[in-house]
Amino acid sequence: MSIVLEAEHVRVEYGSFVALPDFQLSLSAGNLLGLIGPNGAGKTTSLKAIAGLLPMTAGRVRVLGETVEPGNTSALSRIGFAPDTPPMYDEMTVEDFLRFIGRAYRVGREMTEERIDYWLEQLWLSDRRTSKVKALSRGMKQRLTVARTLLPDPALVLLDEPAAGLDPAGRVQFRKMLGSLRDSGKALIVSSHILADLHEYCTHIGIMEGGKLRQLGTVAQVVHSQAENRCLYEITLARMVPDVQTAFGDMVGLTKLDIQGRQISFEYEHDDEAAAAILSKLLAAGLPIARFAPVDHDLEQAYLRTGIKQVD
Amino acid sequence: MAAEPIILNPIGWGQFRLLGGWRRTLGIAGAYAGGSLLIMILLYRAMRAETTLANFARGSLTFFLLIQSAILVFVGTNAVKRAILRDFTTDMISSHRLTAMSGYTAALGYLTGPTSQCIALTFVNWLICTILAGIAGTPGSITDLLGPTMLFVIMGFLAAFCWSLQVLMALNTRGRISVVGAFVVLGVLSNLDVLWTLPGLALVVPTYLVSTLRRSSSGITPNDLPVITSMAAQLALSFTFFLAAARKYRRDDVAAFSGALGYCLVALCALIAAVGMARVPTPQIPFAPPIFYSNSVHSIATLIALALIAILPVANAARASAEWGRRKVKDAMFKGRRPRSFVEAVAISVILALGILLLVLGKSSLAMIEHRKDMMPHEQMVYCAVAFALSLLTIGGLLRYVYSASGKVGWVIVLYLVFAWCIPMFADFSLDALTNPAAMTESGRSMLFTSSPVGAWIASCTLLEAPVPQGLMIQALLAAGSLWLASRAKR
Repeated sequence: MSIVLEAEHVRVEYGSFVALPDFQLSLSAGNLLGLIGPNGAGKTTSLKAIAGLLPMTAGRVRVLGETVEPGNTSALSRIGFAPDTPPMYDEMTVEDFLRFIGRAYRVGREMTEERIDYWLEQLWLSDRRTSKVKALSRGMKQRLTVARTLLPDPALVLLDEPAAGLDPAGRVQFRKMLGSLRDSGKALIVSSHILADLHEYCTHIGIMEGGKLRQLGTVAQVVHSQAENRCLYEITLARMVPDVQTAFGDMVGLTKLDIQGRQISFEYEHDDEAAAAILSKLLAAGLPIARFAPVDHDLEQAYLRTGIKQVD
Repeated sequence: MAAEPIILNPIGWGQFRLLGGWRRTLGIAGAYAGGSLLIMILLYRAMRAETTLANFARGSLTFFLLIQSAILVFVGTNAVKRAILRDFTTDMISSHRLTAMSGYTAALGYLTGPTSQCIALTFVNWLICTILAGIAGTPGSITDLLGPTMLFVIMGFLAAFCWSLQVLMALNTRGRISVVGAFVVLGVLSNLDVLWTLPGLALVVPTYLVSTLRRSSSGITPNDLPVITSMAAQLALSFTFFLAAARKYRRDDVAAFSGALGYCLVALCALIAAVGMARVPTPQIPFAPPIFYSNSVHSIATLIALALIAILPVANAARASAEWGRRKVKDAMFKGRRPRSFVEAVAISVILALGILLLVLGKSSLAMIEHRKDMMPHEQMVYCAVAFALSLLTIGGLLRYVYSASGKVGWVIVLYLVFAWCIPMFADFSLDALTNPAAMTESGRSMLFTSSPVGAWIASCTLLEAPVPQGLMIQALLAAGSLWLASRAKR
């Protein structure tokens, strides 16, 4: 797969504050990277730096081999960037706004009209074609931003919190659309706090904190990282048992025990034999176990395992 | 460079749509034409007994010309400012910057789109004025019909100047600053004739136009040298502003006048100043103070103006040098070419500014200063040049030092101008007044006076007694200190 994005040692400073000390990233066609992290982690800054909208004090960004810098319209026009607060001309109609974007990207007139039809249909805005932008709801504006970003057919798509204003049905369709964009060979970066969605459609995950990528890898790599062959087990008791803590007292290797009434969770070895052994020990200790289940690894646990407390 | 007509220019088209498109534009133009016609008919019917149709048409023509200049200079300039302000407040500017649009296309769009309704009204006004000129003049006289057209062409050049300057200023200040206020002040000054102290500036603003109109009742012809020179100067400056705006559009941190463009501006301003001093005759207006027409005053004002303009390329060189140094330290992979040092920028600016002045003025440059008995005219001119170079070296060094720590340097320039240019002269006057009040007007000035570049220029261009070499020594010490500071600048 061809490399679409190369960000090497990117450093961004706001006065004396270093927002990105040394950001590095490489993305190939067909990669969909989900960026997660707390507020102020540097997700938006890194997206803006990649899009060439922020000056860098060090490093360089290349898109399809071309350096992204002010004035290099050839490189800039290969990037589609949808910020979390979409910039729009409120007084324009939806179709006029997209026509304006088509002209700005030098998409031919006929091709622009074709693409407007296509993306308005894909993003369920066809019936709003002649509405003024100011009359759209937040979710609709979010979808229009996505249409604006994809209309010029960029090779690299950067989406900052794209699903923030979408309703549940919209989110499902949006996930499908991102999947099809990924499969069509585009490279995408999505910054989002909806971790379950990211787990579903991303090929890669980057966890950011303090302007640094603390973890970067495929979804499977990130989900299983730091798990060290450990698994979370959940138990539901049939009834309340007094002094339940003593039943777990002498079990070697059991960690993160959490007892909330009849609900108990703990971490133990990720192995079927080990699970059977601990279940039999607990039954032998007289616990009335109604449900015993190992919990599959997911992105949320992986994120929490990093020790980053604040989730935006 | 994209020279696209309005309808193909993306920003031009977008702004045109935001203003309501063809329907709104034609509606406004039609309503304006109809309204004007109706008011004129009603006024003429009311005044028919007291005036002739020709006289009424002549009066109306003047009125519409005033309206037209207001539409172009004030309404048009404001429309450009508002369009850019909106793009910054909605962050559409970031959206534009991501597109395939070049800076030239964007700047052209800002010039044509927001002003589309003004252009439509201009066309209506031109039609009205041409008809009125036909009624007012000898029937069939080509001069009378061409008169308004020529005035519209002149106003068109002025509008291009105002609008391109506004695009540049708005892109530099995120749409916050309007140049309309400056044009109001300049308009007032044009009538006060004070602008004649700086012939180059008088050439660019409509001073020549106003004074030519005042002197001539038959209007302006294409052969009127000051007007043609004025239009050429406006066009050249408009083009320079346009190029700078196209650069600035790319990103907020990009310098508008970096590199060659800054030197072009200095060279162009020097050329305009020199042409204003040498080639365009200053009109002798009754009761105007003679100081406005003194050659030495023209020289001093021109040197001050050129030194202020030359700060731009020097500051840009200082900034580029500081940024290069910072990047070199922080980025191991950085291979950018080392930019010109600010000292080179000072040398180039001095050569361009003073070289062009001398080249255009030729032998008449000697007539631009009052000849002193205690020094040769060439000596006086060398002192002027040395003060010019030292002032730029001093500010360049200061800026290089400050740029290494911060991007905000406006306060440094202001402080430098106050403390190095103004205060020494005022201090000298104050000390003189305190120590020897009776003889103040007769005595010469001290080296405190000439330690200011302005003081040195005044002393070198006039007969004022003052120790210029000593003052220049102090300036040289300041420049040396500033260079030392620059060498200590943080990387």
